[in-house]
Amino acid sequence: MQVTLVGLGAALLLVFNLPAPAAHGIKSAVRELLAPYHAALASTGSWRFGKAQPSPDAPSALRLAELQRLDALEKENDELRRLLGLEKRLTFQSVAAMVMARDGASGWWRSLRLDRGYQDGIGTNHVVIAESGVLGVVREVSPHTAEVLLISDPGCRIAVRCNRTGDFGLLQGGGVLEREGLMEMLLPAEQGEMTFIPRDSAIREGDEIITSGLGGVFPEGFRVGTVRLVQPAHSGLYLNARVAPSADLSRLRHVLVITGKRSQGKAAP
Amino acid sequence: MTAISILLVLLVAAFAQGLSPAIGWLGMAKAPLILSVVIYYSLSHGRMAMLWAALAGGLMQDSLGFTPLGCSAFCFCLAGLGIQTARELLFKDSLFTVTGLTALCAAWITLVTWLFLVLGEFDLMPEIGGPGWAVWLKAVGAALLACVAAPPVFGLARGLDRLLGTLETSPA
Repeated sequence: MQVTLVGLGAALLLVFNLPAPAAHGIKSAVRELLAPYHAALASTGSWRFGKAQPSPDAPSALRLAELQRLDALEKENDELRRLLGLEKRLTFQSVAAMVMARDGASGWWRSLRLDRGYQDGIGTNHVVIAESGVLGVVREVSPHTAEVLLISDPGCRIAVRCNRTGDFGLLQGGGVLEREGLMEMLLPAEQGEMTFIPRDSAIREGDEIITSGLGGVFPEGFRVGTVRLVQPAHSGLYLNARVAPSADLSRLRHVLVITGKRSQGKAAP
Repeated sequence: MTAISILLVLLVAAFAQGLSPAIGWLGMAKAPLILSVVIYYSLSHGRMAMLWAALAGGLMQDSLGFTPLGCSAFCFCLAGLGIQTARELLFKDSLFTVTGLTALCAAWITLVTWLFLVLGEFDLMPEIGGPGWAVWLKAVGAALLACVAAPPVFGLARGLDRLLGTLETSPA
């Protein structure tokens, strides 16, 4: 018993104090091991209802399944077409990627796992976007996967500004749970909190929030969200605004990762 | 052979847990499939098998997210050791024991992991120390999901044990 406990303690101490490259290597190995299966399952998402052709005398359930499959394919097609349009407009080089899994294995963070990694040119702090707006930032990469921290996570902070008034602020993810009202508590909240807005700002509900480019991670000018509510901060020195993300963080399956290198010959947005 | 079968079951559990959705109204809890595997091996196998399952399972769980490596392994090892210490006092064959133990451990591990993240000053730590009820909700959510997750995982692991002939004690 004592030998086991000593051995266990030593093993845990070793794991806790692994040098960063070794810890990264272990995490990468596990992700790479599971990535092909996650990717295979994710890529079948739009046609896993079945391939049977509907016939006039087919049971209605089969025709319904076929309609659902076509509807899913149409939605995926739309999403890919919008992404392609965005890629052409970008002045940055980007890599298209597919969402394989969400929220890690324990759900502590709001995150995505993508099916592209550093072998595709993706690195840490690369920004992930969709046609509808900014999604998050890459925090960890392995050869063929990337872990993205979503902007709805409380640990994600973005330097932003109001597109109409030009006022700057800091947007922090709203996390999972609202802090006001019992019913709101039980629902997942995607809204973030934009803080440090000057008190004399004319920001109002419906204003578009974009990245400011300050901070060095998120490039300037990408749509982040829309103001839902403006109220004074507790200190009274600033205004705070509740911001709903413009991208559908919980449903998007295809995204672009800005790899940060400027490409030649592409038109400005 | 036992080590390989443990690894196989853990890989299946990690694959499924990575894909399972985090449920918002349960505090973003996920079905604790990997933990269920660890508890199965705590109840039905010896100490070395349990420790192997706890270490490998913990490393897998931490690898599929931003949690620092070792947090889950530490929690799983403690849970496994605790269960094995009291194993002779438990009705191991009862479904109630299996689900109850997994639920209790899931809630406890949620709270301990939260403490790790709050106290650890990790770079990626979210501000989850805000409203205390959020963590409690996640713990309760993990316990509820454990009640659903444990029986099929136990069934899978037991089936593999029977197939490979690696069953050590009477199955739970």
